[in-house]
Amino acid sequence: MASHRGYEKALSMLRTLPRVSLYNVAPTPNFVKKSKRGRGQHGGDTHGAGNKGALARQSYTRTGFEMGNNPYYLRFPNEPYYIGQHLRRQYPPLSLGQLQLMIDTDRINPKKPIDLVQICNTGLYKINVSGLHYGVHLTDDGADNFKAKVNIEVQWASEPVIAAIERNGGTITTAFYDPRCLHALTKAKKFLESGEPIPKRMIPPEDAIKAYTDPKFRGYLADPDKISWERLVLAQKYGYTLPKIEEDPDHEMLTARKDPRQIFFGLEPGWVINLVDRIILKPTDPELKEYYKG
Amino acid sequence: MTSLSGLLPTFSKENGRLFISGQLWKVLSPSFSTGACRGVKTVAAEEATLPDLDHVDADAEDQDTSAEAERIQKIRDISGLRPNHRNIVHRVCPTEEKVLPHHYTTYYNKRMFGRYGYASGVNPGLCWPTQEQLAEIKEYERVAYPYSIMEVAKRELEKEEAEKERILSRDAEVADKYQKMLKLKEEFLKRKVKEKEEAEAAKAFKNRLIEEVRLHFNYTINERDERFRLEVKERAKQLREKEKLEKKTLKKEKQAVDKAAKFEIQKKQLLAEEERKAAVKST
Repeated sequence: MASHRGYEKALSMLRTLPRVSLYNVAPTPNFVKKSKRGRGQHGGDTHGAGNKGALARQSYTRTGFEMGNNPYYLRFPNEPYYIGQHLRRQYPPLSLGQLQLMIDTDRINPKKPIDLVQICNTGLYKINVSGLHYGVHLTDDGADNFKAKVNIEVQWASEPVIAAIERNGGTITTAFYDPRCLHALTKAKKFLESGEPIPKRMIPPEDAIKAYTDPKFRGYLADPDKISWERLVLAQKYGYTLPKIEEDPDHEMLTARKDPRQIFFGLEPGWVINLVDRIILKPTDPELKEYYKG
Repeated sequence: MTSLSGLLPTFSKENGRLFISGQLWKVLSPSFSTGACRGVKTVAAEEATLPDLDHVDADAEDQDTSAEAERIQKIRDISGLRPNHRNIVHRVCPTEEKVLPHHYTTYYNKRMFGRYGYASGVNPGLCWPTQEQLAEIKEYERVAYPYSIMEVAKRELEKEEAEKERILSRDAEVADKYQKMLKLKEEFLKRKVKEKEEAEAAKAFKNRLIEEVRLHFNYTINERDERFRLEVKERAKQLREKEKLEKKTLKKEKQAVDKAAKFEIQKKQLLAEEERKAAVKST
């Protein structure tokens, strides 16, 4: 059967070799054989656990137990970093990579302004309003691969995220919504079917007003002139040339902003939307009108 | 196999009947016996021999077709749902009579309008708050949001500035106190050195005294002896007096020197004056 050809030799060997099974496979390179508990003279007796006591009975005390002392891990019951934790606003994260994926898979249309409604309607992002979730925190994971030009409105964003979006010629706003509006935004269809008039957005709480009036944070209450200045400053800081949105064909879309009292794009507070009859009902009572306006 | 399967009871889910070897057995269920809910289609199924549509009279065709379609639809409906529930599933306005208390609430009617539109027969004016409700809402907002955006922003800015001011003033205070502390520290160190020197001098003086007294007694008397102690006291007194005297004399000498210097200056002045006078006279 000897042959000068390697593969023929291999084949001939294969014919004679037994089938590959558990009995003839070699262990993987990093395999370590576990030592077995010996019996009798082979390391039996006390199995190395000594004679009498907790160690022999293997009834060890729990970790951190100090034999009746007040244990160290319970001695200082002070966790000041959790003070008010149950009242703090939460912003569940959404990364730029995830956003790009949503756009690439047609879950989100980048040709229209993106807000919480669009993001929640993808079905890939959920927020629990009663769990004090106050909206999207856009994080910078995947910022280097973010290529979309969008007009996005989120509730929290860091500086690199703002830079990543503005580098592509997009715009970003950070906006605050009170829980009532968040209910309407996160489950828009359900809300519109409830027959309730669209609520007006309430003002942010005192500890959030600084962020949302800050042009560096692109707050929705900030001065637009200051925001355009900060856009330039950020471009110089991160070293990219700021695309001119004034000359952009999508200029109108990119500069679309909501009124501070408005929660849905194109719909005003106080309107009742009926999805079946496809109609918009507006209040006529002057008192109601005034209420929803201011 | 075929004979066995023929013997086994087969359950037809579609019309709720049991067949055992070709015979019809009724399933004993309340819904079936009453025919109120699930029995609807069963009854239809029993008379399910469809008429031959080719032989229907031409006159009654329009009337019949709708009735016929309805009947067929009834047979086809195997959901087992009540008509109202079926309507809800198919998003048709439920024509249920308003019998339950919640049917008369604004909440329910609002939702009816939102879901079924004008077909629900609800006046959409219900959707907005009434005057009383609006007043209540306004009252709530007045309490919950007492300030406008500008006012809140201003208040926050003021708070921040006050905090900054507090920190700056504290920093200034600390810097001031630090400068004072440096001065005090220097003084303290100087005082310490001086005290040490003084203590050393006093010790040296005492040692000298003791040594002198020892010499005086030729080392024959113990230091603790009364005589020795008295001698030391005496010597110290003498030395102190001597020192005082020295000081006095030094002072006197100094005074004398000062006086002489003063006198010298006065003399010079007088001489200068005389010279001037003489000069004036001569001219």
